[in-house]
Amino acid sequence: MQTKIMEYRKERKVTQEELADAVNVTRQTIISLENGKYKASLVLAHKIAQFFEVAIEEMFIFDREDENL
Amino acid sequence: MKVRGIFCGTTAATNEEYRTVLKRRNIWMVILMLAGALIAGSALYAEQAGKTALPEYSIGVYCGFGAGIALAGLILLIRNMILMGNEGKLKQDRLENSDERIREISNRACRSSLAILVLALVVGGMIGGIFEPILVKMMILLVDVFGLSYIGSYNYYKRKM
Repeated sequence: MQTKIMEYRKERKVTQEELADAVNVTRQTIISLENGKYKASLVLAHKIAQFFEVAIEEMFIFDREDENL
Repeated sequence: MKVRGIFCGTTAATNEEYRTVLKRRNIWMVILMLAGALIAGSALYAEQAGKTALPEYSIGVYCGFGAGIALAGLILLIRNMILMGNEGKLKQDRLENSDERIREISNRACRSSLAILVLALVVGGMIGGIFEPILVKMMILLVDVFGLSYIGSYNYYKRKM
């Protein structure tokens, strides 16, 4: 799964700390999500998408082969 | 390096909710302190009254264990009180305890530690049993307790989810 968190964050000039505060996680979790080391839960994915006012599938791109879709 | 405790996870979304969680945890800290004081106090009393058949070593173990958990309870109680009085630190601690990634790390660490513990128990029991047969019985008992509690917990969560 890939994410566009970093892209949206930079576009909207939001720091990792601000995003982490808004979605109730630590900054390290945002870093791990951006690096692709950690996959967000549905709830966290929803919160992040809601923060940037985009659809979940716009923010998180599922790799059909990796996810067995 | 910071390590989050096994029983520290919470779903508190605000500082107020987390303060309630800490208040509840403080009750457990007081219970822990009392239990520790009771264990250490009983061992000391039994030793001084000369009413115990326990060897000196065992009395030392009970005293040390009791004092240890009482002290741990006291330290955690003071820590929680300090946290509750500082909004910034409270928020930081709440995030670290409710963060889903940290909880996932803790769950995985628990699973690995459990596998190592069971392995150590079985290997220790088998080797130790050569010299002390009671160790094999102890090993079988503990593995049974683990197995039964796993089945019980599995069925409980299966019904809940």
